Amino acid sequence: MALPPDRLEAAHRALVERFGPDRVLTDFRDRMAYAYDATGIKYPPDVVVFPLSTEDAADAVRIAAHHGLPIVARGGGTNISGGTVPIRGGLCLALNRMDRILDIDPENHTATVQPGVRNLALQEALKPHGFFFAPDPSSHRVSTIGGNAGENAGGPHCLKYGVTVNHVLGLTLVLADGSVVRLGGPEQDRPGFDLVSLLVGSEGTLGIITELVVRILPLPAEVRTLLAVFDDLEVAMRTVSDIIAARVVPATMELLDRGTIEVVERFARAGYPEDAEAVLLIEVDGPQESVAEELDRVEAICRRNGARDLRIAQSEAEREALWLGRRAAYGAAGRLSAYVWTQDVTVPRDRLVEMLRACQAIGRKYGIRIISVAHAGDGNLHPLVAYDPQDADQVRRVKAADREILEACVALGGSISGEHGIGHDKLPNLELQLGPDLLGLMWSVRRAFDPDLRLNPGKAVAAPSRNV
Amino acid sequence: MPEGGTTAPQAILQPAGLDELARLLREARGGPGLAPWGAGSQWARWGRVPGAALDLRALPVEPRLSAANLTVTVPACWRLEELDALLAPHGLWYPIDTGDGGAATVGGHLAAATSGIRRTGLGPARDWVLGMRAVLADGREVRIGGEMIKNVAGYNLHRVLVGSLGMLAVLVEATLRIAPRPERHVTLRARFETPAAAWGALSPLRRRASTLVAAEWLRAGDGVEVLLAFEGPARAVDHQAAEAAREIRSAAGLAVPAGGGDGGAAAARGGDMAVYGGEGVTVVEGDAAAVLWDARRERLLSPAALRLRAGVRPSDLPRLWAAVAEVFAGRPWDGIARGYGGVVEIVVPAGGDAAGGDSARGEASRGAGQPGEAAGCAALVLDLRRRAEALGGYLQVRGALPGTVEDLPWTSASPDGHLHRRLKAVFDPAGVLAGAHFLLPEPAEPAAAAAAAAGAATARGIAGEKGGSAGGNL
Ligand SMILES: Cc1cc2nc3c(=O)[nH]c(=O)nc-3n(C[C@H](O)[C@H](O)[C@H](O)COP(=O)(O)OP(=O)(O)OC[C@H]3O[C@@H](n4cnc5c(N)ncnc54)[C@H](O)[C@@H]3O)c2cc1C
Ligand SMILES: Cc1cc2nc3c(=O)[nH]c(=O)nc-3n(C[C@H](O)[C@H](O)[C@H](O)COP(=O)(O)OP(=O)(O)OC[C@H]3O[C@@H](n4cnc5c(N)ncnc54)[C@H](O)[C@@H]3O)c2cc1C
Repeated sequence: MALPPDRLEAAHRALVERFGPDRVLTDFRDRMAYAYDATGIKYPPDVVVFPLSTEDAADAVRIAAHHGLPIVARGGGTNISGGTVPIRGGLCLALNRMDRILDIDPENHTATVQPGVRNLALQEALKPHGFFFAPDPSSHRVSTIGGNAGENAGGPHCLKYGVTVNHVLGLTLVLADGSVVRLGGPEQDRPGFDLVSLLVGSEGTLGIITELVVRILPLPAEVRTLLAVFDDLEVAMRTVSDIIAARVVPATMELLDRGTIEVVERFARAGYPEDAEAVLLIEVDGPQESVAEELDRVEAICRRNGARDLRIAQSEAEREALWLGRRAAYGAAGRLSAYVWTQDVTVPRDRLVEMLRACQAIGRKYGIRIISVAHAGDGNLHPLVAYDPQDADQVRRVKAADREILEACVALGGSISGEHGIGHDKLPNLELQLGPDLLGLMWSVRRAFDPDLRLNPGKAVAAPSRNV
Repeated sequence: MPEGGTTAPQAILQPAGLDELARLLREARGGPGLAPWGAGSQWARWGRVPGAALDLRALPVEPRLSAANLTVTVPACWRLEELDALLAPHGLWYPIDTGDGGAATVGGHLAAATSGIRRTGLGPARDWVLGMRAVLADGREVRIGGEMIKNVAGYNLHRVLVGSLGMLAVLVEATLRIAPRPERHVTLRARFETPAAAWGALSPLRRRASTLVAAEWLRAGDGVEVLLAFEGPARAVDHQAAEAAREIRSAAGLAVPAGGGDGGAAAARGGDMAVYGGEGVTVVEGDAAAVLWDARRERLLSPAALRLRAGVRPSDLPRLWAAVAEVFAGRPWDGIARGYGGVVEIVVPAGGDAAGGDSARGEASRGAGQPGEAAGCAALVLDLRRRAEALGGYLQVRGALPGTVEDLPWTSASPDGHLHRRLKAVFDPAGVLAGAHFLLPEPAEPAAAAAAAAGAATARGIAGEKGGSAGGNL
């Protein structure tokens, strides 16, 4: 749906007048740099603006609204769901220059940041104060706090600490009409409905976040890392349940299946045994007195369940070595073919083995290779599907397999996305999980915030297929 | 028995099935509005009674416990003590203590977003909710979320329903995260000469004490008594509680009573306890700890003419506390605060003494024995509201006998008020669910057309409501 050239022209002029030529991109090549995200889909925006403040963002939204342009908020552009791809063109609000940490308040355990602060930059700023920000998506070097909130991102450590929505206390928001509101804040139990929770995970469809008050946590005094090797996938998963039942909440419990171990060993040589059915990477953290006790319990459970090898890191270098295989998993999978699709599903934790088996069976049925890594403690599985986008037959089979994976996950009582979001990519499958009534309700919420559907159209939440 | 025994709605509708619930909701369109009713404990405290209440106890819903997934799905009409009875034999619990000894229903607890004392360590109640089954105002049933722990498909509506005050949907079932019961519990008690001294001593503690789950402040004359709860693995709890006791003993402003005993008023009521420690800090566990926490609850729930809640950023709690003391100087009042949360519940008693008052100073004799004596509080409340807002915080009336605060809005109008109204209009365009609408902030500026329409519907919804008739027991 191309916008009429005269309308675009007028919008360009108004934006350049307000922001100056340096903060507005109109050249095609410049705009192409904002056309993509981590999915590989590409649609250029018609214009890119770099706000530096809430007022800037509000003015840009007002100008875009006046001229009828769709508005897409963009942080680091690392999402894996097509969330920042301007599929209908319009204005890309590039928030990466709003990258100031406004306040770190160790006394109140809060930090106030602009949305373009990179996750890693916040972690580095917090470290000297003895604090950290719990959400830690693996994209932390590039992804932004605004984007983490946009997707309600998780990470390897959210088993113990929760996902982004558990850590956002307050937001400053530019609404679709350019008005500005503050929601929540560092004060607990503010009267009214919980609009902060509504906004977190809304993928830029309900408002543009221009400031966040987030909860920060004291850095744990000690971290211990352990790798347990299993000959049986079921036993590895039972170990996960046993650990939790034994009153231990590890910071992390990551699982790699046999296929992933093979690929990791071929390309990254992490030293995981290639004939193992599964490895569990477990980390416990906290004050010294509890970490020692927890590590003992984890070790005992792994041994009791017949782990064939247990490696406990004794130094930071050894810890890094144990993590190497997990960190290398995506990259290694990418070496299998021209492209790797990272699926993201969750099921109740006790159904994870069934989900893993279902993926293996679906892979066999369609003749494609599916390997899996999981945030096992959370029941969050990432099947990795390597394929060649140029091979039409492969693409067809991958698509069919993908739909079956989502159907299997919904049948097991799961969610079609645990952390990567719905974006553009999963929108056609959303109703599978939500059903028409709930989807219809969400659609109405969206329209109540954005009656003209200007904010990130074609993403996150759609009208239900039947009229409800 | 909740204190609301004296109040009851005019009509109580008790649907026997979801179809009937849907029909009742549809038939209520254009009427005075319905309010979901749990155990009625909040209603009793608010001193408001809905004209027509929806009682869900007859709905057939089966609980489902998944110990391996650490989740439980329970009917909204279940009392928290019933939930506990299901979980306890498995060594599990739902750790959110709503502060009423388990009498509240799951639905009422979630709709009112009560988070209890462990919020400091365990987060707000909505962090423990994974899914909900709800019936919308037009009778349609929706299932939001589920038993999966992570879920980013669509908006976080199940979290929004936590705290929805019976205004957005009727909750019929909730899926909650549960946890193993903690291995060990230790409570520490100390008394500080001033709230500022308490903050000074306690603020550094929680950085290291990962097992510190609750920190409550109770008024003790000009100072405060603090109760700290440590829960978790035995070794860590013992170590951290001992460290904390050591630090507090050397803190400035600690009130050390003569004889090295304990300084709090609760001890007198508590009777014999297994107490060890001393030098101004008492360390207790088991039944002795329970006595202290029960005493706190009694103070919170004691009969009141007026109940207020104020919240500021946590480090401003001493300033807020000082403001309360100034505004209520010469009157009996009690304060119970979430130490690291910056939230204080203020109880102006309906008669006799305020638990936290210093009766030696004759304050109690001027207690508001009759509702009428608490009259004229509107000016005080406004004054305190101004002071709380000047600190960036808020003040909300949470219960008032007729005449105490006149027509003062219970909640300040807020610049985001129009968004709350819009959300209300989406969920309940016909204004069927009146709920506890008096706790929802009004828009601070003239609202947009859609919001105004929703507001009108809500106003219709409350027309049939009776005023408080709690007879001195809010
Ligand atoms: C290698 C790799 C590893 C990853 N690992 C993880 C992981 O472990 N866990 C995980 O959860 N995700 C992971 N992701 C996905 C992605 O990194 C996260 O979703 C991340 O939070 C996106 O942040 P971003 O700044 O890149 O946001 P973007 O991609 O720029 O935006 C994400 C969404 O948020 C919206 N948005 C951005 N900023 C704002 C704002 N200020 N206001 C309103 N809406 C806004 C956008 O419109 C879009 O819908 C990974 C991605 C990659 C490429
Ligand atoms: C005397 C007393 C004092 C208390 N003081 C405190 C306190 O200070 N702080 C605290 O945190 N807790 C307190 N509690 C606990 C608190 O009352 C409960 O946690 C809970 O909020 C009320 O539960 P209920 O079942 O009595 O709900 P009710 O009082 O019946 O209802 C509370 C609200 O929830 C709505 N509601 C009820 N059920 C549903 C449903 N199924 N669907 C939708 N909406 C519903 C109602 O419409 C109403 O708005 C107190 C309890 C008592 C008995």
